[in-house]
Amino acid sequence: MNQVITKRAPFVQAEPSHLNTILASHKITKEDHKNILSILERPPTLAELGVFSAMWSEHCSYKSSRVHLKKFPTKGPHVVMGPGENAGVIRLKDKLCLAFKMESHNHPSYIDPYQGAATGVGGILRDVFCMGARPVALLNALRFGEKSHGKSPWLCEHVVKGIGDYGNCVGIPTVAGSTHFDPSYNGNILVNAMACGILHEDKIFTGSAAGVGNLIYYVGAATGRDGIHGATMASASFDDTKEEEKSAVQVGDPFFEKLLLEATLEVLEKKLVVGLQDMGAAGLTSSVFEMASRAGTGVFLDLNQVPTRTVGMSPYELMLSESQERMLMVVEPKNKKELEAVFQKWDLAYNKIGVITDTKKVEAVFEERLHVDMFVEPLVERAPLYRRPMKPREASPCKSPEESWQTLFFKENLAQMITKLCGGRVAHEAIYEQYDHEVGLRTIISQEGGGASVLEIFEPSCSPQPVGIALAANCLENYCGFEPREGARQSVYKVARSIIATGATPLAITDCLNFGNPEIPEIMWSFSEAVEGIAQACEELGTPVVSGNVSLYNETNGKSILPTPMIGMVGLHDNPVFAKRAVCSGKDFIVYLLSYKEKETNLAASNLWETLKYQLPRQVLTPIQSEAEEESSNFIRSVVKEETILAIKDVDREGVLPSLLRLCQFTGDIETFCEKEKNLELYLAGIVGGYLIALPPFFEESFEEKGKDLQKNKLTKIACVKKEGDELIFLEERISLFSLKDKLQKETKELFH
Amino acid sequence: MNTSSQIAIIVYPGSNCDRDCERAFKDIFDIDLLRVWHTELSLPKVRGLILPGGFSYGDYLRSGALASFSPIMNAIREHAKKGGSILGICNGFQILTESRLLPGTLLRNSQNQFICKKTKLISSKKDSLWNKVVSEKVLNIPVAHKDGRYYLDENGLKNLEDNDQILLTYENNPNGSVNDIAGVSSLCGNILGMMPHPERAALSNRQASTDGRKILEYFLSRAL
Amino acid sequence: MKSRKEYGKIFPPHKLQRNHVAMKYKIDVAFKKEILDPEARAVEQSLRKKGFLSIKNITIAKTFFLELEDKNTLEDIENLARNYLTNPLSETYVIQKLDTEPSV
Repeated sequence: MNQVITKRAPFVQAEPSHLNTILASHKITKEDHKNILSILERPPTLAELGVFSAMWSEHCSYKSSRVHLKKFPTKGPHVVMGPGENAGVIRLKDKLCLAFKMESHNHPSYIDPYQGAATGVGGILRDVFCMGARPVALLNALRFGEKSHGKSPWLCEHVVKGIGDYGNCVGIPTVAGSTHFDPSYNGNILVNAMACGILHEDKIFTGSAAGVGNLIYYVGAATGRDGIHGATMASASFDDTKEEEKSAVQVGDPFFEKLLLEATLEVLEKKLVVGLQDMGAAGLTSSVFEMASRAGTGVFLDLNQVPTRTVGMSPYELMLSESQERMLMVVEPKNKKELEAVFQKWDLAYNKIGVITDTKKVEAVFEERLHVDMFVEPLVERAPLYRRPMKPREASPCKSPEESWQTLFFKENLAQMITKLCGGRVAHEAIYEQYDHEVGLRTIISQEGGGASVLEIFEPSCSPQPVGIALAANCLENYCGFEPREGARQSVYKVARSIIATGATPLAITDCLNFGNPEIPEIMWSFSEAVEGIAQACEELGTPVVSGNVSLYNETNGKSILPTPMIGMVGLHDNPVFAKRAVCSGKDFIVYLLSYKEKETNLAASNLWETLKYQLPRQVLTPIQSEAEEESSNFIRSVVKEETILAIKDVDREGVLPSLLRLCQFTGDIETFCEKEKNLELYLAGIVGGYLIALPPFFEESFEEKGKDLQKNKLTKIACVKKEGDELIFLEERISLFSLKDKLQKETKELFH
Repeated sequence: MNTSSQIAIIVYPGSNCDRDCERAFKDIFDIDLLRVWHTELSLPKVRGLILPGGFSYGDYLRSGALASFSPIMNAIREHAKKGGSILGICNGFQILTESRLLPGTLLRNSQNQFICKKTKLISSKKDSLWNKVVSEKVLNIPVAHKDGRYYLDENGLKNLEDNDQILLTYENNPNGSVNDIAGVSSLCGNILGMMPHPERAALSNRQASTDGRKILEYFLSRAL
Repeated sequence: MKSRKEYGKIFPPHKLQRNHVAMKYKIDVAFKKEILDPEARAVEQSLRKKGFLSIKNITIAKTFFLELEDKNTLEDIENLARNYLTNPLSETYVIQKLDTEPSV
């Protein structure tokens, strides 16, 4: 066909009021529009306007956060690939590497929790396997509003179902994570999904459009009208007046994802492609521009060739659709037939949709008209970069309490008070039993007791011996709401401690920074502070940030969420088969608390503080003592090698008593050594830098002997547990554990039908 | 590598536990399973077949239904007719009931949720070979499924009991299966199907039970 | 550098075909009365909690709309429904023939 494409699509040129409406609906500011006109040297076409809108959205360009993210340490001896690629990659051992990343899907999950959460999982899986990594584990960190608040039970039920159905169907175990409930998330839930995949160091694929003359293949599901402007929606707050925006939610098909995953890995094994990129936020647009930008080449796209499932899609829709389970592959012409054979075997839709050129432009035609014709570099280089104003949040006025917290605590029946302390915030079994955490035969420990998960990876082609990894994802958002910097720092340490408790050594982190409206100076300040807190903790722990995501505008009707910098951490375990669990039952054992020698308790924003309903004056967070943490982690590492240690659980905000009960799985005869006048605070308040260690009675003496060498930490005997029985003995009162557990389980079961 | 492999594993689009089964059989019995893609029209010369767990065809239409229409199904029926051994695990069990090679059907769990947890199974078969291999009365083997509720009408259930076709029952029924049935065999006993995953309770270097090995051993002792 | 003219040679234009529809059927599939449907039960419970107390029973059914290119006998459709679209142990079906629109 001898087509000469000289005709252009019409430009967006309109009288000012009409133009303003178009720009506003695309969330393009006047400043942005001026830049667009200067980059293109002409008005844009509608498709080009869509491209700028998506690529310059907060979600894709990180315009408000880029300037702060530079503070993260991103390099280290284990780091193979840092931020900037589809996922970060670290070296575990020999040639065995792990690619991992965390991403948010908050706004779509609030609108359609099942599909929002499911497609979140799908997206993060694709980010990992398009690096050439076989996914081995999924984690998720969820935050919902109060359990009693209107939509929360519905949202929780469907998000969990969505994650479960998707992850289980694709056959990747969901092994760890955290689920909290807090009123600040009533209008904006958080769904952060993290995926990890294994790969050989010499076989890492990047999303790069390399090789002029190479072909670009589209493979996966056909394109429909789903999720157009999903990226722009994720870059804006909800408010009651914008009902019509609530239609940009994508629909996922995990079966298709599984086919795409297997086809991709087969294609990589056969060395048929030179570049891969998944189509996620902003669909075809972001994939094509990112690929071209990384390689410094150009791309010519024929939008007529895009497989569609809806008739009559416009080029604008084709460029921006966020239909799920689609990828772009760059292939040399000689491998074309073999590549197509693999796609046919797995029954995937595919077509050749473009070529790589040396024009350094992205050109897209549709029905003989040129709809997109722009240079790649300016789009990326001249993306808006905001240095938003920041203002420290004023502490609310301190009210001196009329009564001490001890008085408040004893006002109610002790059993009721303990039930309140243990319940409410965190949910476990009812949720994680809906996730298949064993498929793949790699899981040694799953998230029982709320600890980290440990997997054993055995890939003889990469490393002759099995390698252990420990995974966890969490955040201390209540601390962050108090003091963003120290709170974020403590969040990193919390996740590190849950990994150290299994006997592993933290290696690197990924993050998902969930914050409110960055246009509010106090929120921008808390973002900047949190970033600094994370950076500080990462320097101290030696865990660089290798990938991450930012989710802003988590706000409804002017009310923002708590600053929630979610941390996803990976650790290396030398002996995964003997990893320590965070639970222990059916035996006689003694429980010790390993904590700082001094200033080990923290009342501000602790579980106790909230259970007593904020009737305490604001206090400063007790800070982390990094040297004491180093000493305690070395102690744990040396002690874990003893097979006699039964379990180790990290303790923080929750406090010793609730953590102890979780460690014992609410069974047995638990005798504590709490005395009202001496150490009540130790049992009830939040702990900074603590671990609960369970060991058999005969090991007591030698364990205490070991503890004598500690200089910055101390060991305190907390409880004696006998396997027969069903009672907690606390302050000389006997409390039935069975009824306590029953009440707590009922609370969470009520969330699910 | 064991070149004359005697056991094949059928792989469908959406099968997830095929590699797990391969690993279990290799590590424990040093047997290399032969992978057979679902579009094949004939089977290699094997004495036993495994239908693994997963979500073949996304569990669309009904769990295991579309897989029972696969091209390989005729060859599987031939193999069964000749008395060849078949072990269907989870999705595999669903495929066997959908293709009527085993009685009953697997429906949505009564609590309408996916459930992944350790379960205690009671060994129910009275057959002497079974009792020789599966010597324990109670086995710890995990389940992971959304459509695991076994159902059969009264007559069918009576037949199962009369003909010693019930392999395992749940001690604490996790999904509402009728008569707590977790696994059944065909009339001749050459076809076995169960919802729990024996391959997940088989490897020795896991902090988990190895009771699943007994089931795999029983399957092998019938097949080989 | 390839000219746009040359790129035009690589990709022929894409066209969608419209097919002729000879017959249309609607097949409803539901669980037999004696089978517990946990999904229907969950929906019933939710709605009763919301205040729809007069709901006596909810049955959830699947509907298949078949558009066939060639003419098929009712026996063919029965065979399809009985042996493929349903599991006769637990499900029942109802077949209804629909009018086809005049084809373009």
